[in-house]
Amino acid sequence: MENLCMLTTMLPSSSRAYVFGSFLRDTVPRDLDLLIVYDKLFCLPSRAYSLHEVFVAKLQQELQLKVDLTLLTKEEELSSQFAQKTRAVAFHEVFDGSRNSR
Amino acid sequence: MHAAPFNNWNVSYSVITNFERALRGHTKVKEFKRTRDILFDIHLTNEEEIKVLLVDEYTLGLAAVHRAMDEFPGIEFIVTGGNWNGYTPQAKEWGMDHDIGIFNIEEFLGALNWTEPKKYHKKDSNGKPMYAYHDAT
Repeated sequence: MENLCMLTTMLPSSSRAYVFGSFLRDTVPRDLDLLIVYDKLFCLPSRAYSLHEVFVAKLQQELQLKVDLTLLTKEEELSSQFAQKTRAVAFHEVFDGSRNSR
Repeated sequence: MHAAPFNNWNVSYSVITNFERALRGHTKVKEFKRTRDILFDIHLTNEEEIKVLLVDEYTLGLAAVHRAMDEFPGIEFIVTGGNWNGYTPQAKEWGMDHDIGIFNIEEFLGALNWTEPKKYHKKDSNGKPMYAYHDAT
């Protein structure tokens, strides 16, 4: 498994990835809940899924797990406080490169 | 063991059957047909027909609304199933501006009782509109 943190270079500018849900708790998770917060200035909401598709596909391939993606603009994340409510953890903190462990 | 859903929106069979059960018991629904696993053509008792996409997003955002519109052209409603699901204010506003009803299941079932379902909203004790926003409040 390659350094998963390197995958974030595939993200559009200003997009930030977070992990939440059972992946952070379960020994054998069924899937990975992923939040990506993106900037409308760099990525239109109408293109958000397609512009993050490569990153998600590669992540699924590396983890051999289904990725359940939630995409929110910065403004939507701010108003919903999704990351805080779901106790999401920054992607690089979950996959720190040296361990790829939870 | 959970069966994988037959759609790429991760909508589980239980969410689909709950929605179907609610539709069957609704007095304003004459009949409905489900295609592509999560797309519902609903024939109302007032003879109107509406196209509804059922998703299961905890927080339905703008990107998901756009994706839904791309993958299911012609839909008029996007309903997010599950007990605690909602949407962002931005998604709801986009829907209002583009004549797309964005609801959670409870709201949608209420909306079917309105003459103009897309304009449905619940009201608080002061009569102010209430939406299933997932916001900081």
